[in-house]
Formats: sequence, C-alpha cells, structure tokens
Amino acid sequence: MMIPSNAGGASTMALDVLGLVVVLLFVVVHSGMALLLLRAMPELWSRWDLSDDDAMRAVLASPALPTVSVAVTGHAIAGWTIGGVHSLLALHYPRYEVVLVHDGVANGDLDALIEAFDLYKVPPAVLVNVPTGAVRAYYRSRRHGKLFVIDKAFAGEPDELNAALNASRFPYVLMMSAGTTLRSDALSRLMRPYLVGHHVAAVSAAARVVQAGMDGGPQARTARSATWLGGALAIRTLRDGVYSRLGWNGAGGQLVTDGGVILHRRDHLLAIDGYRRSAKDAALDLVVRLRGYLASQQLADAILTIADPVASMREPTAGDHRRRRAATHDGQLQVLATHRALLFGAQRGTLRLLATMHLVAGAILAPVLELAGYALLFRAFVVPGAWHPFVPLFLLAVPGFALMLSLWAIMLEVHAGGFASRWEIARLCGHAVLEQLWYRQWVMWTRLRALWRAMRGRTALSTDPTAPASPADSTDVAGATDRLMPR
Amino acid sequence: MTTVTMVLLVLTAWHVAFICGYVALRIVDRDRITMRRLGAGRAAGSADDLARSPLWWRRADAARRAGDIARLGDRELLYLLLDDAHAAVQSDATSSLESLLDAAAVGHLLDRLPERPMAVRLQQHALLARALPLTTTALMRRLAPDASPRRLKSWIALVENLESPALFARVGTLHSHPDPLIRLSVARALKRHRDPEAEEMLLIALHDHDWRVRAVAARSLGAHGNASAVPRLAGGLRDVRWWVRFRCGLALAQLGDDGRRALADARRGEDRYAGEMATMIGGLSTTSVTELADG
Repeated sequence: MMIPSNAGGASTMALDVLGLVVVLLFVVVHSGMALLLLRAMPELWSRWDLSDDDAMRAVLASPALPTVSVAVTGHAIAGWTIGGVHSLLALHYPRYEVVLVHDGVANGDLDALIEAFDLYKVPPAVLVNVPTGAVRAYYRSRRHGKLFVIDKAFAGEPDELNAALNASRFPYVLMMSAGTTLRSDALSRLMRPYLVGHHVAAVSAAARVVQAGMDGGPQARTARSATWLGGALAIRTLRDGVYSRLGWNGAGGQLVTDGGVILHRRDHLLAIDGYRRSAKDAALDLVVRLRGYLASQQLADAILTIADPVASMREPTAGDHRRRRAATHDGQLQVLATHRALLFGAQRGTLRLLATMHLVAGAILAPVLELAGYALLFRAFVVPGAWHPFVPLFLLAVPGFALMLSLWAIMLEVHAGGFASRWEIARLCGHAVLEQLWYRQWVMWTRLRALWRAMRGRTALSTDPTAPASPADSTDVAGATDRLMPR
Repeated sequence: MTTVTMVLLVLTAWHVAFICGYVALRIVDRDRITMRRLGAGRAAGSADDLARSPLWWRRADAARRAGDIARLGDRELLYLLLDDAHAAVQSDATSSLESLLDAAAVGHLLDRLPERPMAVRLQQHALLARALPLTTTALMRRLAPDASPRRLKSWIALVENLESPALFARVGTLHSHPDPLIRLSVARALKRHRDPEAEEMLLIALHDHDWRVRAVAARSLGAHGNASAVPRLAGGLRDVRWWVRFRCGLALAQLGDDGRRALADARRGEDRYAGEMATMIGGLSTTSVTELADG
C-alpha cells in the first residue's frame, strides 16, 4: 500500500515511505491507547466503593486495618509544607504515620516545622535496612505522635526515598512528593485493592492538577485550571495517568509511574533493596525491578491503578514542569538501557513485552517519527506541488486520533462524576484541542532533547546494579537482617 | 481504497467500539443505581436468577433478598454467595446471614474465614462477636494444635477482637506450637489479656528461638505494664536482634520508674548494643514511646 504521489523519483518515494511509516506507527500506538481506554470500562463497573457501603463503615474505622506509613519527600513551594503536613495528619484512617524527609535545601522550613509541630530531636531509633546518605537529625512531635521528621542533606530523590523507607515502621508505605496533597479518605481508597482480596504488590493513583491558590484542591477530581499548561496537564493526567493505566490493570498493571502516589508493600521494597541511588526516575526504576522480583518469586501480584481522585498537585510553573519532564524522559531512557534484559526477556510473556514496546515507542520512536512527520507536513505546505494525501493522513493519525482519545477520557471522567458543571467539561474539551496544538509538540521536543543528551553521553544511561550506594549511617549493622518485623 | 480512507475506517471502527462500550457502561451503571434505589428484593426476577447474573450488584441484591427470605430457608443460596468472586457480594451475604446465625452458620463462617478478603473478614469478625456464645463454643472446639496453621492464625486474630477470657486461655495453650507464626500470633493476642498466666507465657516467649516471637512478646509485656517483667526485659536489651532490643527498650520505657531505671543501668553497662538502645529509647518522650510501642 503506497501513498499516491504527484512527484516522481527515488527521493520522493523515500519521503512517501517515511510518511507511511510515521502514519502507521501512530495508528498502532494510538490503537493501543484506544484498547486500554476500552479495557478501563470493565474496571469501572467492577469497582466497589467501600466508603459508600453501610456495612463497611465500621470496617474502615477498625484498628485492625493494616497500618500505613505515609512517606513524604522532595521539595514543595514555600508555605506548603506546614499546611500539607497538617492535612496529612488529619487523614481519615485508623492507624498510620507520616514520615517527612526534610532535605534542608528547599525553603529552610525546618525551624518553621519545629515551631509548628513542637518537634524535638530524638536518638536515631531507626533500623537502616537500605544504605543512605548521612542523616543530620531525627525529630518527633510532642503534639502529633504520628509525625516523624528526618533532616538530612540532599543526596538525590532516591536517597530521600530510602531514608523514608528505613524510618517507616508499617507494612504498607505510601510514597508521595511534598508537592502533592491527599484527599482525607485517600488511604482507605488506596488500600481498597488489598482489602477486597486482590493479589496486589502496589497500588498507584494519579495526582490531579489544581490551580495554585484554589481551596478544596484535594477534593477536586479534575483540573479547574484556567491556564494552558494546567489544562494540558489535566488532559494528559486523565488520558495517560488515569484511564489508560486503569486499562492496564487487567494485564497486571503498567510499568510507568509518572507522577502521583504509589502504595507499596514494605517487605517488597526491602527485598529489592529500596530505590537505586543512581536512578533518574526512581519510581519507574523501582517498579521495573519490583516486577523482576515478583517474577523471580513466581508471585502473580499486580501493580494496580485506581481511578479515584485521591491526590492532587498544584499546577507547576513552566520551568518546574520543563525540568520534571526532562528528568522523566531521561529516566525512561535510563531504565530502557539498564533493565533491557529484564524488560525484553522472553519469559516475561507477550503482554509485558507489549508494555515494554509501548514504553520504547513512546520514549524513542514516537518523538523521532513525529518530528519527521512535521517536516513532511512543512514540505507539503511550502513546496509547490508537494501537496498529497500525507497531510490529511498525518492530521488524522496523529493529532486527530489523540484528540479522540482525550475526548474519550473526558467521557469516562463524566461517567465517574468528575465534573461539577457542563462548563467544566466544555473547558476541558477546549484544552484537549489546544493540547494537540502546542503541548504535544513541546513534549516531543523535550523527548528529542533527552534522546540527544543520551546519544551524546550526557545522561548516564546505565547504572551498575551492584554498585555500592553511599556509606550507611547504620545504627546497627548486626541487626540489619531484621527486615520483616511483623506487627 | 486510499490510505486516507483506511485510516478513517480504523478511527471510525475504534470510535464505534468505544461508543458501544460507553453506552453499555451507562446502561449497567443505571441498572446498579436503580437496584440500589429500589432496595433489596424489589428488582425483577427471583433470587436464584439474580444470583446467576454476571453483574455483581445483581448478585449482591440476591444476597440481600436471601437474607429477607431467610426464614423460609434459603441458607444454601447465602452460603453460595458467601463464596462469590466479588467481595461486595460476600459482604452483603454476610450481612444477610445475621438473621439466621446458628451453630452451623458460625461453623461455616469460621471454617472459611482465612479465605475471605480482609474487608469481609473484619465484617465477619464483628458478626461473630455479636454471636459470642455460639462463636466461643465453636472456637473452643477448633483451637487445637492439629488444626491447619492458616486457620489457626486467622482464628487467633478473631480471638484478639473478641476479647473473651475463656478464648484467650485456650489460645494460651498454643504458646508452644511448632509453627513460629502461630507462637507469634499467640504472643500478639495475649497483649489484650492481662492475666498472670498470660504474662508467664509471654515471659517464656521472650526466650523463644524465633526473634519475631521474642519481639512481639516484649511488646505485649510492655502493654501489660507489670513491673515484674523488668528483669527479663532488661535481659532482652542484650538480644542479638535489633528489633528485640528495640521492643524490650520500649516495653521497659512503658513500665514506669523500674523500667526507666533498668534503661539507665543499661546505658551505664558494658554491653555496647544494650547501651545504645537504652540511650535511644531514653531520649523519647512518653507520647513517642506510646506511639512507637503501639505501631
């Protein structure tokens, strides 16, 4: 099947073939996404909302529910930390703790935290299972027994996550960023797959984007942002972060965990030695290794996503978002290079191989071929007589198909009751159109830059899994094998 | 057929598939809302028909309906729905069973308890607690060393919630069970049974060869608050395992002045590891000790 061409010659033929490859790739990639959104539907109707069931009210308030450690790492905008910690301490869940890692570089919030929560320094009563950089001090609160604060020098995100993991005492650990806010019933919603008897290794939920300064953000399902960036992020979160991931649930869950919160079983994290310090996308690297571990133990536990709006994050600034996306793309390429044996191994099965191909297509092939597509589009418009069917083909297969997928995600969100008014739906539909006109190209550009950095060797593409981390500040080397303390 | 037409066809096919799926989603959701609004037993069809439905809320309605007509003897249907693949159906069947709870039903619930999802298991704990005399009789027969460890573990967790002295005493007889996880469950359950005999068992468990049992026993002794355990807990500060030293330290901090004195002695003592742990625990406030000991 060839594209009819007005111009002859080998070069024109080559361009025609390239155009066809671009269109076919995007038809295949977008068809995969369409299938995932279709698969999300059975997930939606099989969902049982425990908090909506009278018989379950007493169960959800029972102290016999599994205990959860909420580990908070990373930087937040000034003034968030105290408010954010207050909201975490008011979550509706019987027994949990909040472990906050303060790295001392963001806002110098430690003094404010000490004052707000009446923190006092405690001896390092923490069993260091995973080596981390040196910790300056540990604090507990006289007012809130649930709160534990670790003050340490910044040594990368994985190091902070490992410090939080060491300090976590409970069998389930929720990993979240300081810039994310949880809904008051987030923990019981995230625990739902464990409570209803699914075989689960981890549960993730996307963080919805809310406009900075909006009150009631944590309760918001969908972005109410008026800005272009906020709107584009809201659409991407719904389509890629919520409903396409929901579609992966039937196949054991997806590999990528771009943003949001994730609830792990602590014993699994300790079994794989926590986060790898050299990982650029610590969460993705961990999930890939976790999958390897589960396969090696012949455990069929899934990494599930829930569509519930349990977490929200403030709309980032353009600069922050640019840095985050660059780090995400670098991380994806690093994971593909580091774990290629694990990702492409034949023993992983067809579905998991397809998931890997999805990652490869998104991280490497799609940006390159999309750029080629824009070049061909440009040529079609500026070269006299070069107009041919590639133009409508490209517009249909790339922005057209993607727009259709965005509109589907909005429809699924309408079904889930995620919008307060028709005006909100219309506005998000408008953002879905706008996303295809600027954000899509911007993401392509950041992916290409990540590829360029990787090719020029500016990104450490592979990491040595056996490389030692920083020296441990272990309080007790002799006891370092006491990892799985039962309650 | 041109390539443009083919791509258009692909898009149209996907869109038609999605719209069909979406319409089906809306229809079944409306059915769920209607069933809920109508309440148990008012939907069309018999309970048996509903119980065979592929839609879980229809099977849940069958469970509620079976509860309504329980006096007519639809226990078999309820037992069937208790084993449903969807936890919501199991939950509704559990609620419906309350009105016809007898020795046979209690026995059925107890025997399948370990296989239930956690949410349903906790709901059944509450149901069994409301029928305490029946549950006590059934559990007394079942809590024997030769029962399967999985069931024993689940029943001991139930006893922990029931807080019946007779059942605690029975659980205590399993303190020397060969499976360490059973001994661990016993040590944890005895935390809620303040009794001299239970304390004696916990003091024995403090010397168990499995470090997890020792750690849990120390925690339970701390919760009992009896200062007579101080010398043995002080000995536990010299354990080779970090967790056991940690739990013994916390327990000592919970045992008032005697415990605090033992921690101070350990700080000045020759054992480096006991000294470090005593220093750590000694620096904690009372609130922190309670919070850590509870977790």
